[in-house]
Amino acid sequence: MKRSISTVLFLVFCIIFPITYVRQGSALMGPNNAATDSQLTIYTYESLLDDPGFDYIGAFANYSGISKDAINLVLMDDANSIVSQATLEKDSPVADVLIGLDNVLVHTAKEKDILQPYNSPALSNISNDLISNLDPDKYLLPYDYGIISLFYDSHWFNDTVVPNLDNLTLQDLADLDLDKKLIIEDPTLSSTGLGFLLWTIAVFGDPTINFDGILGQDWRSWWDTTKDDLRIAPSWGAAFSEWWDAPQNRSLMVSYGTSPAYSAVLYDDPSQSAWISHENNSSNAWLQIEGLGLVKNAPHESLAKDFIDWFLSTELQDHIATNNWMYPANIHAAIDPVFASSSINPDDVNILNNLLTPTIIAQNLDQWQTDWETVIAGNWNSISGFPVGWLIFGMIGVVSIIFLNRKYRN
Amino acid sequence: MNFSDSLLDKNQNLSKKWEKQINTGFIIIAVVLLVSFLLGLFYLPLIRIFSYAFNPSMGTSTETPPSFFSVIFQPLNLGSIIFSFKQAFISMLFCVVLGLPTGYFISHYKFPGKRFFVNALTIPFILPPIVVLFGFIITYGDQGWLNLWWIRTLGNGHSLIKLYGTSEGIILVHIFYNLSLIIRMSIPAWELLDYDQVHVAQTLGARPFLVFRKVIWPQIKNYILSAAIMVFIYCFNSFAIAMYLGEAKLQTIEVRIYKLIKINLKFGNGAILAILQLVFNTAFIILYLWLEKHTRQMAENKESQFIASSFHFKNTSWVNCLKQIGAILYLLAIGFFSFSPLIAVIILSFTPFGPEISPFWGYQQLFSSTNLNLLGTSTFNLIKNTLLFATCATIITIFISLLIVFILRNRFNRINNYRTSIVENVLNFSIILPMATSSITLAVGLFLQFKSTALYTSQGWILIILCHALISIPFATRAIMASYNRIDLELLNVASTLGASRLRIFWKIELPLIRKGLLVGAIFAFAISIGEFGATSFLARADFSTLSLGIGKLLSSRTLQLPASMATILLLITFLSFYIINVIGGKNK
Repeated sequence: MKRSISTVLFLVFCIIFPITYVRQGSALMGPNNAATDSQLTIYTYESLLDDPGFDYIGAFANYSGISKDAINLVLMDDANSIVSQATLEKDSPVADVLIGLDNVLVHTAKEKDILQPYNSPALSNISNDLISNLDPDKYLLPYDYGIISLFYDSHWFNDTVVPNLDNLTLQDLADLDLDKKLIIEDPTLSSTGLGFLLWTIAVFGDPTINFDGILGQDWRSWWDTTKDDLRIAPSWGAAFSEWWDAPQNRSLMVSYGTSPAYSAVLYDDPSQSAWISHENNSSNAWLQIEGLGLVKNAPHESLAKDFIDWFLSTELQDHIATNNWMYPANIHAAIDPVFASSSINPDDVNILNNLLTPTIIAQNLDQWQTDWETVIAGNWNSISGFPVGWLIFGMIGVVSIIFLNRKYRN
Repeated sequence: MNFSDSLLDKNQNLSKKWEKQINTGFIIIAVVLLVSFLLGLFYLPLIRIFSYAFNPSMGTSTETPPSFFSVIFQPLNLGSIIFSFKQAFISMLFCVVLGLPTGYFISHYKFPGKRFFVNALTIPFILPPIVVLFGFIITYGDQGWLNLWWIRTLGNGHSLIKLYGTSEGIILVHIFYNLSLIIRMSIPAWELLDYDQVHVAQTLGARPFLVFRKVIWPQIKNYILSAAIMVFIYCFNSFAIAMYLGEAKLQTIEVRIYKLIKINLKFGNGAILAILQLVFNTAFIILYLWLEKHTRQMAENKESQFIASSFHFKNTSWVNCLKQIGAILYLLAIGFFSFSPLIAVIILSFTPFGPEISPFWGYQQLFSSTNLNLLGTSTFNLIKNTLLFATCATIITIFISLLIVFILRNRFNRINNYRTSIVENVLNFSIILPMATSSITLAVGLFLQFKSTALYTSQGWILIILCHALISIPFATRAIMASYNRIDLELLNVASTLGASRLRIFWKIELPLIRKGLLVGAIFAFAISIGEFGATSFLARADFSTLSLGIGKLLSSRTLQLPASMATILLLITFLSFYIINVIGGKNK
């Protein structure tokens, strides 16, 4: 009897304890929440303004008069993580400002309903084109922009190695086997890589949705012919380290039109260049616009608005070009003359974003990414020409030998 | 006199009773602690995954509810399932083929530094995948030493090994990683082999292959198969390696789950794949446990009578000479294969990446007072985090594992009850299930469960430590249990009869006897925590990043010297930690 009572008590305890423990866990931790002892929480990606580095948190603390410790800067791996984190916290937002979403990710962010529109007074210094190409509804406000390009070192890649380099098309890359020199980023993991995917879609078109693009072909066939030659890196950083490490091996990488400025400005080395494709007698490129936005139901809305205004003012924008290596959105922001001369200005090229409008992207992005992965993974069925069928056959063989062995023994 | 006697008696009775109460109390506390730990950190998150998989309303957007089969038969997912099986099977096959002879040679020959050699072969197994990858890229990558040498010798411009985007690359790294597992497990198999039978068979005229198939294989089969299944499970759940080398072309289920949940925010689809992976893993683990039980039964009552011979070239036939030279060459080749990536990392860290740069530049950079922007924090902070996480995870792991062992082996109420109870079976299985759960699935569960609590948003390091502990507990428990099972039951019964309390028995008899198991468990936990990449990268943010995540980030710096320096630091810390754990655990022996 006694034992049964203790058993019952014990079982009840077993069930109740963990539940209270989990509940209490969150309740006890609640007051420690970073949001209460900081006045502003910012989510961004790690490499924002980091090379050689501008301390934007310190600068904003100086400007606004709040202590630097009161600003909680959370660095995520990449812009995707910012969106997923903010989505998960949608019901009780922690962050006030999200920095680093681009003109593709903005669709996801709007679909997930994590931002609220903010008509900042600072927008008067930003060109209307940029605003409408990023987000006319002003959920996300542009702070910098630049075109996606193929980045190369002219020691390894120049007019003598590849004649008529400046007038090549994307198709020429494949035809001349230059894709064997190319490192791209996985478009499902990296926004730079996604920009390149959209570049190919805008150029070749997509017959499945009756989108002609420039050439009226199918972007999938370009990827299908090149997939075995390309090197696909998981991130821009990984791509860069490979490109840098062995330029004679892979001398082209998907990067930005502003990338050559880095070595030109910092090391006085003008040898790096950027390439964009040249279909139908115009230079075509995909424009990436990065923006920051106010979180819906942000806990510290007014300070967050101050921060956004400040981020778009020249006080910060002056540092964009030579720390984030993109063109600043603010038209009055200072741009180093070396930076301007060594990078491709988006104003000088045909921007493909006008062709591939935000509506088309929003409708098809998911399918495009899945299609891309399917095209790329096309050869999963064989291992260097070694079909799976043989393997299964071999497996059956091994298993049967084991069983036969057992039979003989008994 | 009589009165005091009875008083004494009564007192004794009372204290006996109290003791019994205290013991019961202890066990109840232990069970509650264990159950709440497992329930709160494993089963509730697992249920959360299930609810995401089967209840579309849990999703964050208005995504259409994915059906189980449509998710599995989606070409990309199906491809990842097939690829997981394929690469794991081939890796396992190669590991066995390469590992069996190595184990044979090591067990058959004595040579100076043999113990060191065997221990050193184990190093790759405990290394973080990111360091292994890094070393591999230096040695075997497109511009790696081997390929450069190959191109220079042949001059035709084709590299020997293509590491990126090919199954060969992934399989090669997996072999490197898991080879030591087979070698380690096959050494006792070869040593316990009954060589009399082999000789008899040979005398009776059996050809070598027949001897192997009919005499040797049945004896070593279980050892090899259980080790092979272990290798299979590791390869099946590979994450970092498949992520970096597979490009987007080759994805394991683990990579697929990561992408679906972390990148595409399709929680339902990811959860369904996670469940499928869990089912597969559980099947493998059950097979492994079944084989292991047989192995243990076979190993019982067996003493190794085998004496290894040293190499001798005088007074012996040339066939024997040739055999020995072959063995030496083979061991050297395996040694080269296993050590070259590690040595490559160390050499690279001292190779200046440009003129006028000192060989120590990487270290100077890492330890200079200024924070490296790329890391988001200082190197000291990373080292501190890594060691702190590993130490905490090890302590928690050992504590929980001891609790489990304490409960499972507690014969307090059941000294006459030799039948294993249902409770014990359930408990056994509920402890093994975390072992069958891949680290990404664990992290996903913890993430979905705690994502909106402050535990994740501001105190994420707790979650990382608990996740590490959860991953290592099944291994540590098995290690401790193995040494526990060797304790002579009589010893405990005698102590109990002499009036020692349960706790006292545990403290005075059992604990000293399971020291070696504890040590192995601790090393396992520490190594897992130091090297863990998948779950940590899922849960960590810049402020509590670890060394292995730091190396991943430094790969994008403009020099390979920096990541190589950090990888060397990680190697050094790993060695030192193991040395210290060994010293602490090994004293008073």
